[in-house]
Amino acid sequence: MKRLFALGLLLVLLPAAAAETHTVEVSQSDDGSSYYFEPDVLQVAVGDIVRFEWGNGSHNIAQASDGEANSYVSGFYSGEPQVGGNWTLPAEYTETDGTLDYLCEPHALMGMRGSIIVGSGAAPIPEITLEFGEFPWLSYLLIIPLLGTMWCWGFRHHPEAPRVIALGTTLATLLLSITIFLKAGSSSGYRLMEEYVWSSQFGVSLLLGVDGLSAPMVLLTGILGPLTVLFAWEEQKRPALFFGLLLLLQTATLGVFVTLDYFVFYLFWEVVLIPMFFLVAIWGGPARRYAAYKFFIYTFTASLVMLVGFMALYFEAGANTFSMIEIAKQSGSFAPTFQKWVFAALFIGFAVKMPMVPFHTWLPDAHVEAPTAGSIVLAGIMLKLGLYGLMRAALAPLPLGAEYFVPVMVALAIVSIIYGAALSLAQTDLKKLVAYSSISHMGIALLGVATLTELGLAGAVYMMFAHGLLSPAMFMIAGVVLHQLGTRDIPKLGGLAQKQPYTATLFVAIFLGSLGLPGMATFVAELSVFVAFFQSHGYWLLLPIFGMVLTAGYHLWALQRSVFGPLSKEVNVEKVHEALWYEQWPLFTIVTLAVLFGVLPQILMSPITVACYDILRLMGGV
Amino acid sequence: MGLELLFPEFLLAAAALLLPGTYLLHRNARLCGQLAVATLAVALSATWVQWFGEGLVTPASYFGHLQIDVFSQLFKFAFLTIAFVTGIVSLAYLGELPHRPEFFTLLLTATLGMLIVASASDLLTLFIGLELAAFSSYALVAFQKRDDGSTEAGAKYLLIGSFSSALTLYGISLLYGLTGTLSIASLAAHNWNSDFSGALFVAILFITGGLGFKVAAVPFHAWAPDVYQGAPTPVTAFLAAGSKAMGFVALLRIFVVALGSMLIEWQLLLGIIAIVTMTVGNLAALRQQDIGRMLAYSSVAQAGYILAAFPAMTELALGGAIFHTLVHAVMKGGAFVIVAAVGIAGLGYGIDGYRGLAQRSQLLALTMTVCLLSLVGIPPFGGFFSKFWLFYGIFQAGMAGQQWLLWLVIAGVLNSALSLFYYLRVIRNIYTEDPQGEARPFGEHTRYPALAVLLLLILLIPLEYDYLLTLCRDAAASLL
Repeated sequence: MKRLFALGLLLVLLPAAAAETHTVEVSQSDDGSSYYFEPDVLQVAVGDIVRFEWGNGSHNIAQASDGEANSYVSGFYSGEPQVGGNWTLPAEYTETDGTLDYLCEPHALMGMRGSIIVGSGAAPIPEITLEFGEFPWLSYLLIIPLLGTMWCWGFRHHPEAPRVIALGTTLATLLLSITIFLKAGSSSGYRLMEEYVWSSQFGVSLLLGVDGLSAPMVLLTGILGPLTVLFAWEEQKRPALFFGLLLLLQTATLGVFVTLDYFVFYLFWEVVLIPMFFLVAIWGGPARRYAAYKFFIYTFTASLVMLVGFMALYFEAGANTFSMIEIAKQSGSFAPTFQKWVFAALFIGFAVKMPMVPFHTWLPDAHVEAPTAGSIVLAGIMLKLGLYGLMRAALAPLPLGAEYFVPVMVALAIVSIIYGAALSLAQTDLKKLVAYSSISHMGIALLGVATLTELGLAGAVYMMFAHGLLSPAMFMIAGVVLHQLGTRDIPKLGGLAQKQPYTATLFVAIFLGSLGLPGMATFVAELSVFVAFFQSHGYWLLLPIFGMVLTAGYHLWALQRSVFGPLSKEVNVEKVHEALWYEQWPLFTIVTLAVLFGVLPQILMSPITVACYDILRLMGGV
Repeated sequence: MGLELLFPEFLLAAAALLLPGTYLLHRNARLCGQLAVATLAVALSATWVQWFGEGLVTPASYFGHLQIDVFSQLFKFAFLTIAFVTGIVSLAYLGELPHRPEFFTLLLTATLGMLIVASASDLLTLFIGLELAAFSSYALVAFQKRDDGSTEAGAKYLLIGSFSSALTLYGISLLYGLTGTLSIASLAAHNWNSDFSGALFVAILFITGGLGFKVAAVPFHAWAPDVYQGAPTPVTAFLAAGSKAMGFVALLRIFVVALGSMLIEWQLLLGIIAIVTMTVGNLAALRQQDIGRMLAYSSVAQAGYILAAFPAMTELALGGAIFHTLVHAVMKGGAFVIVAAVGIAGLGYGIDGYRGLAQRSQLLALTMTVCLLSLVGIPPFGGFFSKFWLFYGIFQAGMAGQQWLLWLVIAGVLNSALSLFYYLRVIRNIYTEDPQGEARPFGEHTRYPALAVLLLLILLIPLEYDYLLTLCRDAAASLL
């Protein structure tokens, strides 16, 4: 019995005995000429314990992002510098393979730094599930709008046919995108994957797949498709070309959202520009040529910079593949300097598309001149490409670069929020007001990304979706007003509610939704981002909150001046009537959806949070 | 070794001799034109059969002067295609002008010169090929002898051309004096005893000057805008697509093969010329009002992109350069086909002539747009792929060690963005303006070349770039 007990005790203690304890001396020489950790490079096994014991002098232990950093960023921390005593590294840091760099804060510049190599020294790559589908859903998603384009072209001499074809095609795409969203589900990893090798010698393939990050964007693109077509129902000028370009644009944007290969991603990214250029240049307002020109050149130049970044990633990874998944796996081998440069290149490409101040000047021009359908796609989908690209293509392979640029991103985001809102407040053109409000809203989304936390990223994606619904609706309102009154100048408007009570109700609902009324989708996004930002940056939150005050201000002020108040005498209001059916239905649908996603955020939030968690896992942040 | 691989050359030579005779007997200019086009078609299909039918396992050498390998077959095929399309367009473009038989005879001899350049294996043969092509083109450029522009362009081309030929020849003679051989293979094997030889550098400078003229590299580009503007448009297409590619063939043979071991002598020189060429070309193109001049400067810029691959000297970069040379021939040739069609229709050669082209002819408008966007390098058109893999190759060489090559990539990328300005101006005119003035309807003859260009740029090159690039890489590998 006694023997058995002893054996039992042994069994219980054995694991504890296996965990070896290592001791590191934290000290300095008597004359203060050298400061050191002894040993400075410590090799331990997984599960070992590391104890630090103080010798001479006042020191502390703080984790550093890499072996060259001079300051504490995040991670383990022994507290303020102390004299004497000891400190044990929390057990969680030695649970997995990896390299931990640390330093003594007061003496980092004197070279007092060390590192602990746990196990193999390389952080384990988190497994991301790849699930190849049995049915090529995503290929169909890309092909159907393209077929619609050709079909429209075939019926170009028929006045009615193109719009019917476009509506049919976009409805089919909507059904497909809903199916894809449901099939993508909310578990980790990529679903419905397809791979078609395009060039084996360079590792280019049409690698398609959706996860919780792209599925909501696919859904958004699907929803906006039929609404755009409906809203442009009465387009008289070259309808076949118009609807054909809209459908082409849909293929291109969907392509960006579902592709997982840098080369093909860039391809779709640029293809987006061509139909958009023509939509603005042919069907736009008086200064359409200038606006289209500016838009094209701005975004093209920026994406070339991005392309160089992609090439650098490809060569540095050395895996002979453009697959985002494979390249992200190599991120551990990218040097910090390399990551900073490449992240900067990618960020320029994405920031112009978002757009962030100071790269935003193309946006108001393009928006004001674009036809309403063009504005809908521009605000609803194209502005999302930038943030989506940032999260999909830049964060996972370049974690250190992203971390380095956090202050820049935060600063740009806050400036965009406040500057965008302030400019909106000053606008008299309703459409320009909405355009600047987009800059402000996308600033909130970037702020979410800059927190690099699960909640922040999820809030950013939710903001992309919510803004993707409500901003197009605001442009539709501007379209309705222009259509009926011939002007969008806010001071000339007034009292529209008296002439079109039902439509005015929709206007109010949309304006309130856009300013972040609880119960509508934007609120969920703003709340998540602000909570995450408060957790990571504390009271800096007051700055974006101040931006929110301005946001509420310009929304309500514009509403009050244009829809309510006495009937305007400056324009002919005699003919003002309720919006037409093809204008009302899209607006109504959007209000319904905005409420739906405001009340039941988990429909989107659960896949989004899982995807954001995956991104952070790939970055090594969790 | 039989001579069947030289069949296209013999055929062209025979046809060039027989064509004037046919005219003297029948007095039928139209027949002569058709015969010339038919000859080109036969030569083209013969090359196709030789190339793809049996494959080409070992290079075949003839008399030590000509060598048929993958590289030369590829370019022979390209030159014959260009000449064939030029022939078709010319049939309609020349209309009832006098001296058409001479025109087609010259077209055949110029093509023959290009074929010889493509397979020359010693410097003298190379030079003879260059001169044969050059002399034929001088006359072709000045063909519309009643037109001041055309004759002026011809005179300019002749003067600058003969000057540059002299430079090339002098460079070649210096090389001969230094090494005692003219064979490219022996030059490549020559043992240069020092790291850097002043005499060799002078020879290189002369050859660069002479061939830089052919590809219109800065500072030897001044002829290009005048000649492109003044020459009959099919001839311009022939020069822009064919003659330029021929210049690159000669450059590749001389620098990469013959002087490949003395990379250090010319690497930096060509790198600097590349950057200057692309920048000057694009900046000058910004201000042009004449479409021919604009495309000429764009040609200068494209020459800069291609030259950037030379200093890299890797199979991938050179393969990309060859690929871009060929795709450039398609894009530029296609653009000039449209310019010719618009010109025949009486809309003139200014950028303003393109106003509202979309409402006159959807096909021509679309083809022009695709060609121009392709020249910028915007996906999904063919030009993007060739340009991407060209810069990819240079980037790779840069990452592999020679860091300064990355500047070539950066310069190329920035220049691509710059070039968008002037191409977009034409596209904007095509789609957003209303047509002005009356125009004759567009003929049927441009329809098929335009469709072929569209098919190539939208479907064939994007979908099959992997295969095409492999071909070009094989060609590059056969050089190295």
